[in-house]
Amino acid sequence: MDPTLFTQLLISGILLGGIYALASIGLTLIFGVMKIVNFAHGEFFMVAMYLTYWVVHYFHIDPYLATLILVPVVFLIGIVTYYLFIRPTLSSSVLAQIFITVGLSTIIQNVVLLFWSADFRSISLGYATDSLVLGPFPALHIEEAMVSPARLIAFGLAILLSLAFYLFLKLSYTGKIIRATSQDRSAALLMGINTDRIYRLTFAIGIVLVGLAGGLVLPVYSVHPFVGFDFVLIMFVVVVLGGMGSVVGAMVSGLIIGVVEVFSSYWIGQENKQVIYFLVFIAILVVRPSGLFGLKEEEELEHIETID
Amino acid sequence: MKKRVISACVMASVVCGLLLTGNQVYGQENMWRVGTILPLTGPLAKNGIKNFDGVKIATDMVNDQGGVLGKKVALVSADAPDPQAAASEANRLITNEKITAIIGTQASTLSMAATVVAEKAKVFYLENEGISGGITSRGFKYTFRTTFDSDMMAYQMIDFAADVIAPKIKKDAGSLRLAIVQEDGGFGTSTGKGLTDRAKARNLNVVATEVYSAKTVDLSGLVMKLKRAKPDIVLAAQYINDSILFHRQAKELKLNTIVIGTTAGQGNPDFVQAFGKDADGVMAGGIPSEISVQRLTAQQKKDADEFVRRYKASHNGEYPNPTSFVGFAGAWILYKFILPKAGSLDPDKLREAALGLDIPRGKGVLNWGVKFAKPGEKNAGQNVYASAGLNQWQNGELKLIFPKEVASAEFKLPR
Repeated sequence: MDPTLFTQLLISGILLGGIYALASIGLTLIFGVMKIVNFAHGEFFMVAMYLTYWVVHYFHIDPYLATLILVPVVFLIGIVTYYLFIRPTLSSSVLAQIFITVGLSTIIQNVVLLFWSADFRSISLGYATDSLVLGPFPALHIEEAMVSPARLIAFGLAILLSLAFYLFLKLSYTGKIIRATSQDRSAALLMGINTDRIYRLTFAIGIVLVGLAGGLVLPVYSVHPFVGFDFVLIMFVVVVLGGMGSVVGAMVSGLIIGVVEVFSSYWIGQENKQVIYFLVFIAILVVRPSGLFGLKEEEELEHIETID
Repeated sequence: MKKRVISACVMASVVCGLLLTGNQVYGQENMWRVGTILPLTGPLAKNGIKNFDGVKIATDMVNDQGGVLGKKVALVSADAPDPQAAASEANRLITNEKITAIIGTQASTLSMAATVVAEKAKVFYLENEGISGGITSRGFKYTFRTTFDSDMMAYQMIDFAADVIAPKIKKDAGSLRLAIVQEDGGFGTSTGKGLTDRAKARNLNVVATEVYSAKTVDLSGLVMKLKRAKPDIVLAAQYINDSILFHRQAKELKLNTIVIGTTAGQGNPDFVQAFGKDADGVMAGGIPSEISVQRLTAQQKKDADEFVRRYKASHNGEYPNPTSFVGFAGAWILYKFILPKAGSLDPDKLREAALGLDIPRGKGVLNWGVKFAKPGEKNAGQNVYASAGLNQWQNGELKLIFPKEVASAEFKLPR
């Protein structure tokens, strides 16, 4: 294979994968800790894109700055959503939880449609949309490689954020409590952990993570009331492939899906790329039913027993 | 208990939301009750609402002029976000609302579903925007299309590339390299087929044909493939979201080429909002971007001005969106030409009236005439006097550049 083409496809795939990964971490966190499948996840992504868009539109500030400014707002949205919709269904059947998040997704879409119309809104960010051209690298037989700054920034921040979040989970006291609650809610409760507080915090952090993803991709994608739809299927694939609840898994599988998607769209054809990444998805799940980094049930038990 | 109450409230609000966006009845007894099926929510809502605005303004104008044969028109509107909804809403309009004439459907996939139901029930169906060839090629008796079809549009795009652009870039038809990019829905597929057929018939060189799903969030593989194929001109049958994505990624990966898209994608005002100056030079085949007055009669010019005035009044001074034009045109043809002649909303009478029309170009609406292909002819029910136009973004405005007789600006070679 032509090295120039290979490099370009690899770069595009990795950068795309970074976006997938960042968008999926919040979903995997909420699922892992609260055992709730949040079907409205894509809508929070969309709402965050809109909020960033409006801040950029009215205050003319940099979209990346706007994304950071909006973190407390998105956090608050997460808290409110938790109290209104999630908390009441925590001990209900899975079916009720599915209904509530699917219903929430429909409501958010239609409210947004009502207030902000179905227009496709985009920002144009001069410095971030003109590609950097690297090369040539004669030693590697690469003529040129193009990197979109907007995607590179989103990717870089995605890696940093997930790393920071991973360390927070592993090292901080709150992180430990979140993990404990995730492993066994009743035991955590018995140990004096306020699981309600942890659930609230986890849900809000999950929403903030997807919100950051939404803000960071605004220079790349246009926002409209149904943009969440386009991303949410991939988010679920990434989460299940990585192992539900695993942050590292979401990162790795996001990158895998991104690279597989770009390469297969070049070689097999754009219209069949979904077939390819679903085949990869199924193949990995056949070998590891709990996902790349997910623990099997017995492993999970062992893990709990050996935890200090 | 408490959570049940809350869940019930949520469910109730979902249902209310659906009802609110679903059926709105503008009017009651002793009026012409005409159904509309358009996507007012969901991913296609953007153009669906603009189309409905056109239908609504046509209805208001006709009513303010005293109605049709002394009776005012009432719209019974239905929301069809997807093909299933289009079919079930058609069913609801026909069986519950007793509607016998329907205007719709904006998108080809929705139209294909809704017209099947209408045809079975022998209800008159006027397609105002869906351009897929399939709508009129099934031999349906009660389906009529007021707008041009995908072949008319695609042929014009190819002809323009070969006859106008090729000489400007100093190529002859034989050495010109074309690439076709199409989304895999009804719209892209039928437009892509028209483009391919025409290129073949004219012996033009198509170096790549790429098909993709409009819901995709990445087109880098496709752009790289095009880059390798080195086309002079890319002909693209895309919707707005994917056309923005395509141009963004083409820019990221430095694919430099001339693009002729369509008014469903590149010609949409959101396109220029996304790209600003970079949109300049991009072309869009399909709905003419302006009501050109050159061929219009005095009365028609007055009606066109009135339409633009009303549209601007209700849209913060914006010039009408192309999709509002065709929405307006479809309804106008029904109110001004078909219904007065039929004298009733009986589907068979409407059908007979429609088939008997022969209004020359310029005397109908928007530079179009009205003459529907007869049963047994190719594309029965197609308005053969409708025509597509070719537009180009110039200084942030969408200018009509082709056909010459109605154009308001000259073609400018993109940088």
